[in-house]
Amino acid sequence: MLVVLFAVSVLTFLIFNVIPGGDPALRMAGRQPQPGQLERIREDWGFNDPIYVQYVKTMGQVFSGDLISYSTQENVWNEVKGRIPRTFALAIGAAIMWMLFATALGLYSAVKAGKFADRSLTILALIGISMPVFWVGALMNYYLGFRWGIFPNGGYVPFADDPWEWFYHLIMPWTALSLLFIGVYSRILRSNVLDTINEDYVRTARAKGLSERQVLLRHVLRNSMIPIVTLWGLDFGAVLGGGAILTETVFELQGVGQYAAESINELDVPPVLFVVIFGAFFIVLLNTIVDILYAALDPRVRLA
Amino acid sequence: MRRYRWAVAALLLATAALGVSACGDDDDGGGGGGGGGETGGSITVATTGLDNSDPVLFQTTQAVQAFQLAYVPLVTYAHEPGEDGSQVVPGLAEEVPEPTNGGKTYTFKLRDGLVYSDGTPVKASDFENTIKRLLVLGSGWSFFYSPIIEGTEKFQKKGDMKADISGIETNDNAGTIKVTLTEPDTKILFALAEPYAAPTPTAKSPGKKLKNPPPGVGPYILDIVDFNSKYVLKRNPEWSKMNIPGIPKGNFDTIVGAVQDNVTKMTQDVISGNADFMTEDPTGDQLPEVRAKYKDRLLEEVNPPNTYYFFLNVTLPPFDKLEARQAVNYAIDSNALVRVFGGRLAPSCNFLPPDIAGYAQNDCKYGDPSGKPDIAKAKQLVKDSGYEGEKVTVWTNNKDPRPAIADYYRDVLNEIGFQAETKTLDQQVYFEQIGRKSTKSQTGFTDWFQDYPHPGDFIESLLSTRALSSEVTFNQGFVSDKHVDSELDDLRGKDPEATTDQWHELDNYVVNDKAYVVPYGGEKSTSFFSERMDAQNCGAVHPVYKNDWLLFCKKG
Amino acid sequence: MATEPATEYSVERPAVFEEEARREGVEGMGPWRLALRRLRRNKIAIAFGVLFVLVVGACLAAPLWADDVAHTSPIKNHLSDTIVVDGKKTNVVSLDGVPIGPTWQGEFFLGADTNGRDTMVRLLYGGRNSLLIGTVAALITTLLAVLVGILAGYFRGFTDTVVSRSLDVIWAFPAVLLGVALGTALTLSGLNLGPIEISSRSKLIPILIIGFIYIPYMARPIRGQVLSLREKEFVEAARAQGAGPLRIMLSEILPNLSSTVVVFFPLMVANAILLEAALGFLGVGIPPPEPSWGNLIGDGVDHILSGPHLAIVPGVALVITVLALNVFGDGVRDAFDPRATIHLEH
Repeated sequence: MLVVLFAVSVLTFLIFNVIPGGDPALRMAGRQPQPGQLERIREDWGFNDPIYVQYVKTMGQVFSGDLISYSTQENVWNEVKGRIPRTFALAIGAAIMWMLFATALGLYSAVKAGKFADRSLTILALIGISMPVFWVGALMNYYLGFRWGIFPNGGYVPFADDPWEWFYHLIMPWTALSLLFIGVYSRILRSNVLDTINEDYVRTARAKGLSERQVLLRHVLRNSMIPIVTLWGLDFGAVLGGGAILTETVFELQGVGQYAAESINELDVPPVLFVVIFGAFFIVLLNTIVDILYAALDPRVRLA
Repeated sequence: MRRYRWAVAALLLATAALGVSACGDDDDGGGGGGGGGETGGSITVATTGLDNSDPVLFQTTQAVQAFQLAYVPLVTYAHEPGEDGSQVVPGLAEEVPEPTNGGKTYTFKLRDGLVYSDGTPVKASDFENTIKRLLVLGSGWSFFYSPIIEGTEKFQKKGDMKADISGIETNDNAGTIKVTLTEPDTKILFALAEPYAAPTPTAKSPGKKLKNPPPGVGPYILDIVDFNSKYVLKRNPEWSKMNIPGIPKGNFDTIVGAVQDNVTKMTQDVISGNADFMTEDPTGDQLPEVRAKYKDRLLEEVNPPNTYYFFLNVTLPPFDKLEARQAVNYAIDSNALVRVFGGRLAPSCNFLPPDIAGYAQNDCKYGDPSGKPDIAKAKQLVKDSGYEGEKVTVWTNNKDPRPAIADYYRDVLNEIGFQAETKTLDQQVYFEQIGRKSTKSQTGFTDWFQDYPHPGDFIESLLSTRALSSEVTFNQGFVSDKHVDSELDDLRGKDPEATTDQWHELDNYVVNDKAYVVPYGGEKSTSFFSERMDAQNCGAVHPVYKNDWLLFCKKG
Repeated sequence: MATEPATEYSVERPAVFEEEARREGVEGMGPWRLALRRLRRNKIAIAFGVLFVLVVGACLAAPLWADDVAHTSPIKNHLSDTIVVDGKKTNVVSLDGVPIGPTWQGEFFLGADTNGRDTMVRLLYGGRNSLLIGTVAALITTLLAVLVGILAGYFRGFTDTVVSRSLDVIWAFPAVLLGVALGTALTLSGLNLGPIEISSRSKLIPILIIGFIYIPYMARPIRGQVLSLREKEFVEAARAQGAGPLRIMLSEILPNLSSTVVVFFPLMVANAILLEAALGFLGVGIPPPEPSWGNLIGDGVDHILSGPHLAIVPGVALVITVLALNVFGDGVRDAFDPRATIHLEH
């Protein structure tokens, strides 16, 4: 896990330090740098040091919380800290939403397999997978937000300021982000359910006299959900770490992902480095949790 | 079973949300207070915020609008809208001094009884302290004061607040400040009239960046509540005791700065009255609607004085040839660019913008900017230059609408016989790149918003050989012309109001005679007010502050 | 990453497969012929497949439209031009900067964008670019994923560790962020690695970036399949006959992967097209003024208040194309195995 994080940080650092075209010293010096000022900045910030020295120094700052942005000269951790609740709110809300809807739709599809309801849901799911989230989000924002005023036109309201507005502003982003996942997950669930339904232990349960509904929920669903939960963990981890850049950008949520994308554009390396490690951390963390959960939940996988 | 209950709950919640959403949006006015009267009360300004909390370090127009209410310098700009606002008038000093010592020395006398907002008296030495801070902290405006003031270059090398600047002599008892320059240059008065040169108490203004603005002398006190979301300007109780003429006290008790990024939302706030004014322009997409529906609340002027132009690198092909440069000037269609600006461009064939001393309309040699371009002539000139088919890269940055401008420019260059492509950089790094000789940028987008309303700010910063001495220059065309330099030398120590003809000649020379640049107009900025504000009479478009909040007033 | 869930697929073929073959009386028919038969019977999949071909055809015909119908190019500005609509002379772009909407005429059939360019022409050319990038990127992903998957799965041990860790690193990077980072870096200065020199404007850059990002998606399932394949009897037999690893990989393992590859490929193309759109939207895809559906959506969203059609049209084109690929890809998967189960690979 640590190896992966290390490699990710090195990769990011290299990508940005190897390209010409960005002299952070100049940017910091402002409009008309005075003689000697540029050199002083370079000295202070260590830009003249060899690249591996710079890397070690910057990484040290990442973990000590002293990392400073090239563009704004503000502390990166402070910037990110303020944006974490936004990203988390988006991630958690969306994750819950898509899980609920995907489960309901997937189960329903499976139960009505082959019939019209199933076919139409499949088509809808496929459409959901085929729509780019930023396009859907932008159009939702325009029509539902701007034109018809049903929902607010983007932006984020902190929960502490106004819990209702907080919720209200997040409904569209949650929906946009969930659409894609609902499409994928409902189909996987449907397929898993259709398989489990014919398994031996299900037949045994039926033979034991359990009602169809009980069979469905207690045995079939639970076993079908296991691979879903593991997938969900991975995607959730990705979004939590700032992976929902497009949704954040379209709805102007000013979350961690949007911050990273803007910093990349500005060739502002410190925030990018930080967010990438932050994001990778969550992905790897959730990956690990999911592995453990999988072993714990699935009795068939209690192997070495 | 449980799952169904969840689903039902979610559905109910969603329905409730949709129901409540029908209400909600039309709130009434921002701050309350003061009623419909003329003074008192509070207004809200929607803004992208201050770029710095330290009065010597801020750089943006949004910041100067706020800071100027709390920091009056020795001399200041007249609080009049329009061209009159570019005049330098007395501030904390009793009068605007005439230079002595061959034009190199200015002696200021502080008014009696001046105190800061914290009650402490204003000392002459505080002024020198402010200049020192500007230099030690590496303010973006250091170049206004150094090396033109004697001793500043040496001071900067040392970088020590305790050292002395030989060109500034202050006497706290007499309240006098003597500033000596290395050569006569009337620009110093304009530079000293900027809010960053305002004295602040030495005891509270050390040589490091301040997180909170220090006390100043001004009609208001600036309080930063939360750098990312709010600041408040409230009346300075000490101000009315001092009686400084020529500076209005402002019509409101508090002005709240509501900080946010979303310009679309800001526009909607001003439309609905949640905000009274916005420091930004409504986005290009919203502008047509705002123009149509709220015409009486919207002012559009070329402000602050600015010029948009394409730089032409005269040291590289193809623009090292006069014919090639002229060709571009003939080919540019200002009307097309007006559209790209969403109507917010005032076409011009001058390099200097209106409202600046020295501006007088050129005979537009390359055709009336509001008319059609002469593509045929441009094509011929390209052939004459011998550079037909030459590859040209058009540089631009990604701030809207610059990519669109560059695309139009590329298209035109292709039409007249070049092979053009665009190259886009992020706005944070753009000017630093095109300002370096090593980048070898042939042509591209650039603009210049005045630092202060002095014509030298344009021509000297952008077209002189002196400007080429910094590592990153704003003379992106790398123009080095003896006539330009000698004219600038001659005009430097003279009052621009008295030498307007000479400045006009210089403007003519760089555009019509030498085609060093391709100016196409000035960007109009908008001032958009809420319903209760009197936009027509108190819109206060100011050439230095963009909008002078001291002049804002409510209707009725 | 919001464009892509972390779904991993693997395709298994239980013994049911053979049973079915017997039932249908087509014993002896190879898996390919069988799959093709099944696919042919899947009307919906065929229909969407045809739809995809139509889209491709339309985009390939872009120069025809541009030259003969619209009389312009995808990058020509018409800011100050006027055209006649319904007998009235209208500005292509108003002085306020608002472009004209669909005219349903030859020129500016779907209207203009804010630089006065013909939307229909840009849509068609944009499709060419998006499809090209998507397909070639998917090809690169496939090639490299198969290569890497086979190496890791067959040799195991140290090779596997190195490969799997590397894949993990790419995987851990949020896909869009990685795309933006690489896109920004490479479009700024191009790629200069030793003998390889790619200009910053080249289409190869987005192709390589997208191709690179998706490698783990395919490599992992392939590796998994190789891991199980190498234990099968025919591989044992080949080894016993003295075949070297290269021969085994090429003649025993690779053919058995082919159905997996065929099933994955349409999905990879769909994903690649979507990622290209995302990168174009964020401004790090093909550099302007070349159109791609992503750029067009990005421009459209930026100017959505001037006219939503600018954002809607390229988006719809994109959705139709990707949907067609997805439905067809689904059909292909069903054809190869009507009971394909989707497992999670660790």
